[in-house]
Amino acid sequence: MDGQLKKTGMFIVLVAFLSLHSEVFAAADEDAKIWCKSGNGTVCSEYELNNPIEYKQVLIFPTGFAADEYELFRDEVDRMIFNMDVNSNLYSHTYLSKLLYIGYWLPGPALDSGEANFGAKISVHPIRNKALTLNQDAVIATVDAIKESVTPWLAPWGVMVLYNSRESQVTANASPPSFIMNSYGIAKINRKNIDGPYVAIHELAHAALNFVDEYTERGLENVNINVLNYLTSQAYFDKSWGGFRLGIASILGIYDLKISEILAANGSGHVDVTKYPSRVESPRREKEYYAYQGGMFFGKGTYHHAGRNIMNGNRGSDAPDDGYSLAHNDSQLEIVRQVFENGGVPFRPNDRIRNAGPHGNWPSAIGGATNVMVFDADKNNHYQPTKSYDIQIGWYERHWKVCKWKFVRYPCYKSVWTTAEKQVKSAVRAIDLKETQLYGFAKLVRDVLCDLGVMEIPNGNGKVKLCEMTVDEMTDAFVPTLQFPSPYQEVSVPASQWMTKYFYRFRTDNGTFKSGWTGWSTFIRTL
Amino acid sequence: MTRSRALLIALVLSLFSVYLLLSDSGTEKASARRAVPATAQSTATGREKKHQQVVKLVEKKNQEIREERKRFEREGWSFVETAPPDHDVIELNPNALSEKERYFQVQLQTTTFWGEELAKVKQIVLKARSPKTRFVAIESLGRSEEPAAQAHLIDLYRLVSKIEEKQQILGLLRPKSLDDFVGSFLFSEIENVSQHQLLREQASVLVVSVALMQTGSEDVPDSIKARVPEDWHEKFDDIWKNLRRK
Repeated sequence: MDGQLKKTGMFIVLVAFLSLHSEVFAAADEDAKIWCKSGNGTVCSEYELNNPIEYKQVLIFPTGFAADEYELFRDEVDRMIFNMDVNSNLYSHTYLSKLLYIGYWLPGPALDSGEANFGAKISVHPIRNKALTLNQDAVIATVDAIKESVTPWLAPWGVMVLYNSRESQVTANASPPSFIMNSYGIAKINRKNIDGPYVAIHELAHAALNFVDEYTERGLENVNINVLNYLTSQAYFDKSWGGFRLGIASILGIYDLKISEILAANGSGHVDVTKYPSRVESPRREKEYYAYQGGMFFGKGTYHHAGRNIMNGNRGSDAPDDGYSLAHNDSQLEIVRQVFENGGVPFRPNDRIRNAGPHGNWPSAIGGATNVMVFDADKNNHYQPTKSYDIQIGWYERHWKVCKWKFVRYPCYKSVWTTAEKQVKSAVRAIDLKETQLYGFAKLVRDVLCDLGVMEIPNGNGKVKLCEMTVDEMTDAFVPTLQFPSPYQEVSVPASQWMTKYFYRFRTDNGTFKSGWTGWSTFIRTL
Repeated sequence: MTRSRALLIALVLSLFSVYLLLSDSGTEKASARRAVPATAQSTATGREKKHQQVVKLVEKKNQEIREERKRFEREGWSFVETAPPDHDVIELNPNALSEKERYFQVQLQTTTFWGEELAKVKQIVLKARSPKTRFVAIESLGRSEEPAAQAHLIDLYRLVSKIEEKQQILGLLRPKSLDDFVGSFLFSEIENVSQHQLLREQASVLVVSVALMQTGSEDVPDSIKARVPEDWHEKFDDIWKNLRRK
């Protein structure tokens, strides 16, 4: 049975199971299988549940809770909601009444049985103490099945899985939706984690707001994310690139792709690999400034906005306005306001762009067709993905005529600046990296991915649980391929003249704003 | 096409035309010895013939242009009016920096430079007063895959005085091996006992990263340890163990 069939089978079984066990939705019913309370404690109305643009649904699943622990699960959900309301500018407080917490009762075997809901486990973390792991596909299939059988209005903004464990020293984690290429992310927390407000708010910010960490991992204070760029030459374009499937090593120098950009400038909207994320000039847009380094666990080479906040930590910076606090900084607040006040409509253009090649000579050995490459940090932005690119190619066209000097007639030309333009839709592109090719960086990359909640890697028809195995076990058993959504996209250009200098630039359209143009880059087709 | 190349082609074509003219004259002279009226006629015919050749050539060239335009149109491109690129900006003319600095910043952030342009990027770092321009220019050199860009970064490291800029430069260095010029430079920084501790540490982190990629060894190999000064052995060991654990 292939992967797709397995998924379909799992979905049918789940729909049948949930149909048999479904009860009429009764938000206030103390015995309901599914219930909903807004952040301020009121029962969700039908209007609210049917307006996911305005009201954000946080779906909470139990795992490891036995059939007689229904009350415990409900109480724990209430406790979590209560603790998430901290007087601050945090989304969980400011937009209390717009957050709909939906509990869904799903009893199951204990966590240590190996058969808990969604294959959830408390595993030994490859780097730190212990980690919460599960099968994310099973969570997604369950959401689909509930939507199909019980609640067609279900449209999760984020999903939280609450583990029935009070074990301490367990690292909660969450997958931002753009990294798992899904409409919502999945947060994993245990009961101990909800004793205070931080973990639930932080992890839901990953899973729903698509935020990434701004803190620095211990030991990486002086490590620059650019060291990962050594791995770029080991990466491959996956099948989404169609005919443009070259080994990246063969085109570096003509194109410049960077693993650092793939990890830290790829859809989060509040962390970048530069202090000046707005790379082009756009109308009515004040350029942003990310004053401090730190993000995606690296102490150097990643940047974020000033202001203590919930995604940051106190390691690696002494600045008074950099570090941890139960608050958002300005760039996070802009995203929060976009989600809760502006119906998701962007406040800014997708201006985090640059030309990624070709640069210089375009040798004929690369092929007859020319492709320009765009880099767009918002291509995979969860809230304002780029819809299309306007690409311009320019050159000095030779308009020939007959010139005359005394009796002599000879061909001459006038150079006329000519520009061709095309709109190209933004398309999904992914980049593969074999873990065996990570050399000494395997553990580092694993750490980054596990903290990002990227826990499962496709392997044939199944999945490898990346965060439940050591690097050595993994290498002995499998050669997993890590797949990343790509912030790059190629555009074919019918430039055909040899030894002619072509210019190119582009801008983005996110449906609300067009960005400014990049600078003109040039390449020459050489023999 | 650069202006100099256009001039060169125009010169070649002019010389070719002169050659054709001289060839005609030669024919004229040769024919004059036989019959004067026939010569005048053949000269006129020859000129006309050459003229037609030129017309044909011009038509052929323009046809090629029309075909290229059609190819673009067939693939969904349309032709639009735009201002030609500002060559001061795309060629990073240092004399235009103060007047066009914001455009320089966009150019530095959104394009990658190569060849001779890399030296101009370095000049911009040294000339610009705006911290942003300096930052994005250094960043631009770091993005380039050309070895020359790494050499310019090392030059800049020695020329800039701010520790933040030195740190930024160190973060953009990519030795291909520990024995190439970038690797040697990093070891020289580690050896420099008067250097700021942060910079020695950052250089060490980079050396260790490259060494780990190459060796994956549990402990610092002797060949590398021999290049690290004694006062730094303990620190270097710590960095190695920490990154190895990672």
